[in-house]
Amino acid sequence: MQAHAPNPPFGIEELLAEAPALYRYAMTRMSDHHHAEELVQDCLITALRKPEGFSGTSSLRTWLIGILRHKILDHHRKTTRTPTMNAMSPHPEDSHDPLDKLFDKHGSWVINPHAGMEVFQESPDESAHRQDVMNWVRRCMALLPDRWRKLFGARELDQLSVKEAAEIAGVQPASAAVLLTRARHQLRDCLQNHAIG
Amino acid sequence: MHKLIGPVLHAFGLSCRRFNELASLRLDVPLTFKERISFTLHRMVCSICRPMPRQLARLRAWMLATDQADQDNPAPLPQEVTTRIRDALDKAKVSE
Repeated sequence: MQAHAPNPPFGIEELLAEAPALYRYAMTRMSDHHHAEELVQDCLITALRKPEGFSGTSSLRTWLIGILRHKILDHHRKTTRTPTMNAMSPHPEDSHDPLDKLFDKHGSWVINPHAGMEVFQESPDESAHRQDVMNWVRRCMALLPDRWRKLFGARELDQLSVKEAAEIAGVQPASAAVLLTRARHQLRDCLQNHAIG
Repeated sequence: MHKLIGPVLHAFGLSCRRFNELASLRLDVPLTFKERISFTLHRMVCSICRPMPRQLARLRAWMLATDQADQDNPAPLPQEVTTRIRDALDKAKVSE
């Protein structure tokens, strides 16, 4: 166990320097920028009050993101449990299926699914269009319905199990995989519509 | 090939739509034996759908790369947000 110095290895200025990364992390996973800001504040105050939690084995940013991640997941769990949200009940947005406009009634494509998607044959590290594609990934993610975004973010970005992601988004575990499929295809369709490739 | 075999596949419930649903579902839940057979058969004969699982995998890679880039090189915060966070930290420091 590493001994902690009497003075923490960071102060308010060091914590503030990490605020933009934390805020962006929160905004990718939340729809409300007020809540995102509150959780970033809460995260930094926790770090200020309990600096002994920082072992120094990872970067300050990595440690703070770990704290923030838990706060965001707790926030999602609490909001989906509030009676006003009635989160586990069927929701109008869940009945929308983006595949309906991609396929005809026989299940055949009505679009060319590869047109404009050439960039998705490249790895993000190798692509010359990296910044443009990332901007559209952010925009298309932001266009997903709120519950789909929570579910999709928890599953794809935080790599939680389907059951955990369903709990966070307030959807029935049995329908989570179907909603993830819809979210994935809506995102794919959004990126294709902007012909970034 | 697809034009010849496509109607037969669709008649057996192996449509392009179903293939693309399964291509995503298999990222989240194990497919049943019947679903795995449908998926494999469709992939063998349909050149339009064959690259789609790879496209979905790339989509995931792009999302993760975007999230990482946002953490590594975030856009600056508006000044008023920074001020509010600084005030909250100063207040927390005083109340310790």
